Amino acid sequence: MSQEIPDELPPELLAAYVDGKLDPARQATVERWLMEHPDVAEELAGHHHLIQVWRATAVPEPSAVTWTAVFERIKHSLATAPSQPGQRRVFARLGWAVGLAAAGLLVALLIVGRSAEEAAKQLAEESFPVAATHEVQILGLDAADTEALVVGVPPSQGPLVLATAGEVRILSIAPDPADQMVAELLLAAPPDVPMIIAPMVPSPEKAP
Amino acid sequence: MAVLTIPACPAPSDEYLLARFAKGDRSALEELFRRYRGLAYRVAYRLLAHEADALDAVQNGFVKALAHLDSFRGKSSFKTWLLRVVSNAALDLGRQRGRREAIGLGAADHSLANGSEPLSRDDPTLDLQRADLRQLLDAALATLPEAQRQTFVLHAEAELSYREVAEALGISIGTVMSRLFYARQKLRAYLAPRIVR
Repeated sequence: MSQEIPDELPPELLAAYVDGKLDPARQATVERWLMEHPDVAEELAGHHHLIQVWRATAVPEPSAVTWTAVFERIKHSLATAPSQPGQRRVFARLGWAVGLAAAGLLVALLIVGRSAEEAAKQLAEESFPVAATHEVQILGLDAADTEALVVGVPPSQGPLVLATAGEVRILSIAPDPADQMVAELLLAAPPDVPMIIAPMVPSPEKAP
Repeated sequence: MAVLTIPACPAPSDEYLLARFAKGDRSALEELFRRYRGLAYRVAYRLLAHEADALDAVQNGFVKALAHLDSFRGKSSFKTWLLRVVSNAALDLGRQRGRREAIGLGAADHSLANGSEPLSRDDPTLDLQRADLRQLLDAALATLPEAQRQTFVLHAEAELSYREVAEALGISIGTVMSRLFYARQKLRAYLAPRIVR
């Protein structure tokens, strides 16, 4: 440590000084510093005193009878716990499997329970806002949600059309020339699932 | 006549006892319990200031530690790891039950508020003084944030080194040392008007 007296000493150093953990050179430096800072010296003297009080107030031990009773309870608890780590992991996996199966069954029942016709009708009757890209400002996004963010300008060249999957026929799919990305299509969707279509003006060579 | 000195058998290591326990040797469990029950109890008692709660914390801690030995990867000593589990069990219990006031604590503080003399260490009735001092320490400890209290007790009561406390709590050695400083500062501030040197 430098021979100069610093303005302050870090609490870690002062704690080590109280515990007698400093090498002789550092201890001497701290003692020189304390001579210049009597208020801190008094504080640390109080810490020494605290340690003495702590050691003078030992916690009384429980009786042998008490220890015997505690040990019996520990033995009983350990005897009823799963004995092998592998066995515990199997129980945990079984628990997860049962829980997931139950959750999946519940979700399936909820989905099947709602009639597709009711869903389509409800969706057709509800209005929802549609915004252009310049009308949206992203204030924040979690890293896990970035996959759901569509990057780029959709090829919307006309009014949006509400259709169902059964009303749409895919003629061809080609990567976008701007980024060579191919759009992901929900080809496995039931025919009555509502979709929003942004019709493109077909190029002459692609006209059926 | 020749004198033969038979060296005492060294005590089995914790690792040996744990291996024996894993194989179902209940005498290994008994030895581990006998070896660390006192230390575990003193740590739990300092954190809870209540004998019955401290015994429950010791019981819960031993059960958790020994039922989850696969979590003990040997990075620290078994003693350090056990005391971490026991002190966490004590803190959990304290939160659940509300840290009870030490018996007679209210009376000890109340007498001071009524103008009684602070406790003196140079008093003939030393046993009574020790009990009162311990109660004052319990009250002072209750004023510390949990992290400082746990750090302080593991160092002051369990006499774990800075490194062992750091390993037990998953913090840096520097954090251990600064927590000790601030814990002592708060304890001193609480005790200073109540204890005469």
